[in-house]
Amino acid sequence: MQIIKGKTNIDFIGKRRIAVFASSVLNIAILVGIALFGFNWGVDFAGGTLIEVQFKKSITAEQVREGAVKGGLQEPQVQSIGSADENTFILRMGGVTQLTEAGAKAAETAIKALGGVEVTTFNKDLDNGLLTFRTKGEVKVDDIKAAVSGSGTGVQSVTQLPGSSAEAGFEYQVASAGMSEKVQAALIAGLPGTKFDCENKEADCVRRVDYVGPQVGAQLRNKGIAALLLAMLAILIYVAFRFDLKFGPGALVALLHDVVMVAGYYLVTRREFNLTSIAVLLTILGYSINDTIVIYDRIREEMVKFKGKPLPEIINIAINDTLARTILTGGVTGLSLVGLLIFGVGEIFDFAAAMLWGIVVGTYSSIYIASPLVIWLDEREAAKAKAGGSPSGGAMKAKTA
Amino acid sequence: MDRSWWTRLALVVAVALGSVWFLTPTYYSLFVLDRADRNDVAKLEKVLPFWSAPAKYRLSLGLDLQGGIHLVLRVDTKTALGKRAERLGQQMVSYIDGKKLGKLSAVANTETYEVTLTAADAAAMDGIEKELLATFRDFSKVSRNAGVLVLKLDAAQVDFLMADAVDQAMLVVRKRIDKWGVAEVDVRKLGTDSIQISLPGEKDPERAKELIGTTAQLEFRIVEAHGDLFKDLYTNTPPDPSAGITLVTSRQDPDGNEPETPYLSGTDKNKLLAYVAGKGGEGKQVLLHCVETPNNKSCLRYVTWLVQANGLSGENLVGADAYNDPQTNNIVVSYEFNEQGGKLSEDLTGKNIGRLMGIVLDDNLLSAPVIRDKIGTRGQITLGRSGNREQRFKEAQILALALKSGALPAPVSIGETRQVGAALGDELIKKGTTAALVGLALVIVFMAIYYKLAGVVADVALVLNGLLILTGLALFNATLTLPGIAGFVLTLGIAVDANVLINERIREELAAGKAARVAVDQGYDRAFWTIFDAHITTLIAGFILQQTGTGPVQGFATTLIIGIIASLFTSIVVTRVITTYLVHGRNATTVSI
Repeated sequence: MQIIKGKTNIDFIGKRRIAVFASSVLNIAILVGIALFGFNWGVDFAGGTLIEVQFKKSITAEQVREGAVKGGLQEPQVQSIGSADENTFILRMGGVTQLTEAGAKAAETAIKALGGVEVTTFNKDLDNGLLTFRTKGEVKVDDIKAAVSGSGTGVQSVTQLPGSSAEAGFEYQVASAGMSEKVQAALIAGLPGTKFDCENKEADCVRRVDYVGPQVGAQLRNKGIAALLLAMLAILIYVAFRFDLKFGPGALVALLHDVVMVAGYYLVTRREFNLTSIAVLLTILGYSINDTIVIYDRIREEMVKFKGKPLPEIINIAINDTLARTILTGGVTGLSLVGLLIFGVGEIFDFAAAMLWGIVVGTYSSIYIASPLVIWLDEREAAKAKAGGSPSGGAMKAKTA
Repeated sequence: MDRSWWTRLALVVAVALGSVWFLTPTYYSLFVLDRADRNDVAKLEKVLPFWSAPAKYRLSLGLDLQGGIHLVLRVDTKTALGKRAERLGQQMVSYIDGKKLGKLSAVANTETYEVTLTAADAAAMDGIEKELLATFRDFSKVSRNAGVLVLKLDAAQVDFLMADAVDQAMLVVRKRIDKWGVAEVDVRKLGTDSIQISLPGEKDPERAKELIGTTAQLEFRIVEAHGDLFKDLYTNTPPDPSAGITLVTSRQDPDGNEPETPYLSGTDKNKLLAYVAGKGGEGKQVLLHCVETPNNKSCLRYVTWLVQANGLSGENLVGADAYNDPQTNNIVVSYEFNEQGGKLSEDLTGKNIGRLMGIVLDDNLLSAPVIRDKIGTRGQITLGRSGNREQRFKEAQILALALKSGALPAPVSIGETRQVGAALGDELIKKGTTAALVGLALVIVFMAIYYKLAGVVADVALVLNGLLILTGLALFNATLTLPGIAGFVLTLGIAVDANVLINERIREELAAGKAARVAVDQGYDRAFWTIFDAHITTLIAGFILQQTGTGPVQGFATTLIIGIIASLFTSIVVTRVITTYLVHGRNATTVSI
């Protein structure tokens, strides 16, 4: 069986100007789009709390949202994942703990209003949802808990800190309950009949809770992007070393092109951009460089075989010769993703869909971006050489493997 | 068939068999053991057949696949260091004051760790500068302007103190998690300022707050003789047999790590604590000492000690260090109190010479050295002579860290928590495996149809490639995560690509009219460099991601690296061994491709 019978002779390179132009426009549009609208950053990068809930009864995302608002949440983001009959939703909240600036003030007032308490210092740590304060006399832990809860902030625990004594004063720490508890409480209040218990097959279930602090989020993002850039640079160096300096930029630009195009997927679909998205970008990077190298390798080989032929023609031959392989590999890798597309929900589905798009883009860029750039660099060198009076023109020299 | 072919065949068979062998513990842990016991190495060892690979080479599932909590704590090393600079500045002032060299005032910059010292009398500064630089060797001079001297903490010292702050926080965190009794906890340093904790099976992410809530409580409490207290307790009100509490009457450890008179021992900390709660008597308390496993990773069991209810707080400790005393060749831990602590210590030790001093961290009795003298601001603990030297030094370092943890609390905050319910984890495994298998099946069927026999050969390589990736992950003790599965899919794609490249080449050579055997050999030779280049570039990317990435990115990179190496082997060596046999070995004149 063969996809392509005999030799093809399609003029890929002849259309390179149109392709490069179209790609450039699209790339710039995506970059502008990112600058204007930004990604839908996931909690991995933006910080915040993510909760995945599965309901037993049939319910829509809009109903979940309304219920959560009724239960006291402000602007929850609700997204349905999987098929409709799975009734599974992701709720995202900006905050990390229940403690807000206003809540901390209210709690301070409530604690100070407790009978016979003289508060000497009062510290709040909003990032971690902790309140620490020192009093002259001893206070009952339960009283503090009741006071803070009464002021509107859920309490996880109240502890008397070590070193408390009659002379030094008594120090207490209030740990506010997390955002996930607030969300659960809101859903229970807003949607009658909701009961969370994953052990019980008949009850609803909180399947996942992710919380990422704002500082760590920024750190994760920067590290992810740094890794991406460094990987690209290393690939450029290897390609320049193994092939020719003129090949390196083409491979790099093709990689950048693919990364931007896949980023465009996240921009347009508004899918969450998180650590898994970085993994997708990395996969595409690997796939695209593989594809580009295969074509480059063929170009290098044909250059030895057809010495003296103009480079565009050689590249055309190389692309045509490898066409069957290009289609096959892309198709087969796509085929292996079919399983993920059918059975994947949420993150896995997003992963497979973005990958599929990336494979299309990666295959395209090897032909229309990476190769034309080699021609362009070659032409420039030829023009320079002519200006310099060298008669030999721009024939590239091939390094044999 | 020449000799090199036989050698290569032997290699391929050995690798394939080795791979299956190394995967036996993984198979048993995932499919034979109950889900609850999946992480229990001891139970795994029991069910493994005698010929199996060691249980430690098993592929464990990442928290995203098996459920549990992943936590990242950030240690605010900068603040800790800023405070340290402030304190050192104060020490300089009092040191110079003590030497009667002049009056100084110090201001520390908590960002740059610079200490600006101003002398009341500018003329005295020359002498002060000389004295300070000779004594405070961790500082170097930045500038000097008449009576104003600026000193800066050396970069090497800054790095050391930062790492030290993280180590201290790690120790405290480990001790606290230990209290929860969670099996298979993994605590490790992440980067320069974070601690990563994996708690498989743990359900309540809010408990993480217990780890950061307060700073560690370190105390010195005098150990009381407990006589027959535990023996009487054990005989009069025997514990519930299921609690696993036993009475130990003979002294087992000659080095004072365990009490001399009958004591209680148990593996379940909470049950043991509940049993002895309030049984110490007036003004006394029963505490537990954790007898650690040889690798110091977790508690083997807990034994009971009786101590006084009140003691000296570690708040007043200024520092502690473990070192080898060259004069006596003993391993010692030296520590230092501030002035107030020194007075309290003098008082406490003076009254109790000859007794044991219990060093208690968060209600855990870490060590109980004998008090030899009245100890003021500076004290020294000499470690016993049991165990090997290396292990003792490690113990000393842990003790020094514990002592310091009372002295330099670096603020710790929660950077990240990720909790996955076990139900979701199971579902992800099920769906992930189904998805991967469906993808694999589609590819296998397609290759067989498209390339006929050559496709079947490629399929064999593909399946072996999959096995090798799993083996590689198991060998390196890596965990299989969701991004890891993504890396798996990519590598399978690349492995298929290698075979496609080879087969297309062979077809080309056949189309050019070459004989079957020549076509196969040239096809392989020509495709080799293409495959090599493509694999190496991806490998480079993989290594960089492995080095610079965090969490999921790293999991992806590990799978990718192992997969690429496996793919090079399967596509270049394995398929060629089979194809060579099919063509040369059978003297074929046609190729099924």
